[in-house]
Amino acid sequence: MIPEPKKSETFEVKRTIASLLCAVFLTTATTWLPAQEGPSTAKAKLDALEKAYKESMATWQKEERAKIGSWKEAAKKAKADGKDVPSMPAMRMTPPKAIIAKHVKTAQANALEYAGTDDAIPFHLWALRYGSRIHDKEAVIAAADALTSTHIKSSKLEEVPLTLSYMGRLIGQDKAEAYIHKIEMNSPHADVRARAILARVTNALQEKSVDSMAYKGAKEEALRAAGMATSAAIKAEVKGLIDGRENLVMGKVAPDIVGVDLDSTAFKLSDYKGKIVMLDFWGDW
Amino acid sequence: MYDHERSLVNEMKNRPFALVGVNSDKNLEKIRAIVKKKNLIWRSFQNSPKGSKVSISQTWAVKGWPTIVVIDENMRIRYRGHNGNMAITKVKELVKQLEAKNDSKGL
Repeated sequence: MIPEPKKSETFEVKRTIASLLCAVFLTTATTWLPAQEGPSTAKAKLDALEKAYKESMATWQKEERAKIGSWKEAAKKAKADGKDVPSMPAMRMTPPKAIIAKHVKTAQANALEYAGTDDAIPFHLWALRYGSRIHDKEAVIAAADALTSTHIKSSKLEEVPLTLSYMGRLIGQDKAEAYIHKIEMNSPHADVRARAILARVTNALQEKSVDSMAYKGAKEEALRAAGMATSAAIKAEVKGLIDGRENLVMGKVAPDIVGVDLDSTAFKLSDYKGKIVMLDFWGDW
Repeated sequence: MYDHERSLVNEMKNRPFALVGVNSDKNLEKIRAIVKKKNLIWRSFQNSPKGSKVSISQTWAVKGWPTIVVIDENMRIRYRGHNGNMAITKVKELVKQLEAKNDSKGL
């Protein structure tokens, strides 16, 4: 007969098991508890940057409108007093560079904070886009350098090639194309490489005559990008670009649309075959 | 443009014509409220319904909004552009031609 363990022994076993469980918990907690720093904090900073920028713009626009408001009052009074109406103040169409510059600096500081991680990429993109608006060549080149060197292996670079394609005027067309080429040659991600090809050829696809060698070459490259891409959006974009020039033109048969209406009820464009249809791509902005 | 389109839909009532929208707004509640408030009496596709990987505007290579396409009774494209007045003129011309064709067939 197996003797029953003494009460004190049972307690010791339970205490040992509890200690072991605590040890397991403490040594593994860093792997399954959410980190204090990480994507959520970077996201919050990106959201804060966007919000601060929008608020700056709103304040500036309000100040511009107030100038006009004040002038209208002064003009009304001058007229009533039989005096010369003062000239209307010039309204700026774009905000002063300083307003945007301070947010570009915030983006750069955040990019530095997350240096070497994917979290830095949205901040570099921000500096690229908004740095170009204020013709800050240095900021644009710094962001482009970081994106195409430190982050060249990242899968998060899909938006970068197209953004770089808009930088030609500021940093020189050759330099912008060199950055895009670097992404195309060095990214290990098919969709990123496809985006780089599209950034290179979209202009020719949209602008050159469909009978020209330039268009045919661009089309071949775009189809190569669509072939390598895994993203349905990239494939559809290429199809749309080519269709837009070759098939969605006067005299061609329109593709059917199979979709849902604003109440999510299914219907098709071909339901209206036999009628004249005005198809209106619209939004309420 | 809403007034012109509403006017066209009313003018073309009981005639072989349909105005069909492709709406880009992602907030369905908001756009339904606008449709109701502004009395937009035509049906619209959602451009990118939930779960879709490709939008209608991508398939149709729409680069600018609004874009208007006029399609005839055989689904051939007869106008594509951004000029609402030109589109409406083309619509009226095509509806008239179609009605004459239908009349001659005794339809």
